[in-house]
Parts: sequence; C-alpha cells; structure tokens
Amino acid sequence: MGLAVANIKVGTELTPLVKHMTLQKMIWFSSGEGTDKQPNLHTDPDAAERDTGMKKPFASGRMSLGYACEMMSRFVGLDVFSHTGTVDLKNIKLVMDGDTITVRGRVTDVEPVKEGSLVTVAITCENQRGEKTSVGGASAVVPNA
Amino acid sequence: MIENMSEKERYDLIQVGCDEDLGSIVVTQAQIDDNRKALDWPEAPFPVLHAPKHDATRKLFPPRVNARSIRQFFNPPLPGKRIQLKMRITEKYMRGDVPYVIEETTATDEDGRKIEVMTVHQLLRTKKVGEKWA
Repeated sequence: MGLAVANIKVGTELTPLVKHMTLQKMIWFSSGEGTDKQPNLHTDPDAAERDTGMKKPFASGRMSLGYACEMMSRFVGLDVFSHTGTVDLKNIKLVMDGDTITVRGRVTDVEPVKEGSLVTVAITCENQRGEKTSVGGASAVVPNA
Repeated sequence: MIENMSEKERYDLIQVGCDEDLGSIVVTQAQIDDNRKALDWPEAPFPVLHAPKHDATRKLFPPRVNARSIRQFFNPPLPGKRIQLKMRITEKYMRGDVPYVIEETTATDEDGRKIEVMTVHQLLRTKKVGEKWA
C-alpha cells in the first residue's frame, strides 16, 4: 500500500533504497531464465574484455532501473506502479560486483489528471563512494481516493 | 559480410521508422523468479522480456550497451501467457563521433493486455565503455 495522494507534496523525499551488487545477481539478471543464457559483458570477464575493453563484467543498467521501480512501488503502491508507472534512467557510471547502490527520489511535480494525480519524481543512484551511477526520473498516476 | 563493413557503413544501414516483429515468448515463473533474485525484490513483477531477441540492429552491432532505458508499465506479465514483441527504431544519432540507436519495444500478451513499452538508447561502439572506465 502506497501513500495517499493527499500526503504527496512537491519536495517529498522517498525512503532511500540500498542494494548490494554481486556477480551472482548480475548472472541471474543477464543470463538467467528469459535471456539467451550466453556469457556476455554483464556476466563474463572474457566477454566484457572482448566487447568493451573492461577487465570485469559490469551490471546491466536495467538493474538500477529495477531498483528505482522498487522504490517507486513502495512509495505509491505496487499495484499503482505496475499499471501506471514509468522510469527513465540514464546510466552515467558503471556498477560493478561489490558496489553498494543507494537509490534516492524526490517529488518534483504533482499534477491533477483524469484518473488521479500524476506524481513525478527525480531519481539518482549513487555508489558507496558517493558517485552518481544513474540519473533520471519516474512517474505514476496515483488515484485520488 | 557484416564483419567486413565499417562502423559507418553498418550505422547507415539502420533504418529509422522501421518496424520489426520480434516474435513471441512465453513468460515462465522461473524467469520471474530469476528477476526477483537478481533485484533482491521478492515482488518484482516485470522481468526484461525482449532480452533473448535478436533484432536487426543487434545483427549489425552484436554487442551493444544501454546508455539510457525507459520502461512504461501497464500490466504485469502472467506466467504461461504468450507475449508478442514488436519493435520500432525511433531514432539514431551521433553524440560526438559515437553512434547510438533508439529502439522502442511494445509487449502485448495473447489476451490483448499491453504489458509494457521499453525504450532503450543503445551505445553501438561498446569499446567506448572501456576507453572511459577501464
């Protein structure tokens, strides 16, 4: 259950989400069920070096996007986010095995729409050194009632 | 053939506005579970659906790296349901001298429920990653 829209104001800070990246999680995400299961630059050092020149695999940027989805779902409710949510993230620094990522969000707009209120959130992901790894935004339509 | 073409020649072959039918997949519970373990989020409803699909741009540029991703969610996928994937190349651009393509994939299940629309900005010169971060 998420917040009622009456309690969502511009400037509201979302509860930060902290995630620890591991190679095993990268493998589940990028070569688990539903993928082509081939070693790739997100799972295998040789593929990472061959394709990008990196010595180690790095996490798919879509994992950070998934973290942002979880933070938004906790904020507005999983059901609301799963039917009206959008996340837009630009990846600006690599996330590696062993990194700890903190996802933060702050409401930047609450706009009345036909189905409720369109809540827009600015999002940043930072690693344990305080370096931004992804930036962007997210939104969802929160019912008024 | 493609291996002998320059990056520019391959980039020029990308057709903006081109629609591509990526075929269909059946979402499994194992796929949903792997996504949940990966994200360390037991309720995660949306695995990445089009990852195993090889579209025309991937044939031209086999390794790509997502520089930006946008996901719009409509309905969580249901295990066992067949999902149709349709892709459109909406833009391609050079940033500096580095090529990118923007692809938009729409996923709709066999009952006509729209699942999601995913838009990705793909970096096509993946060696750029190592040049910047290695």
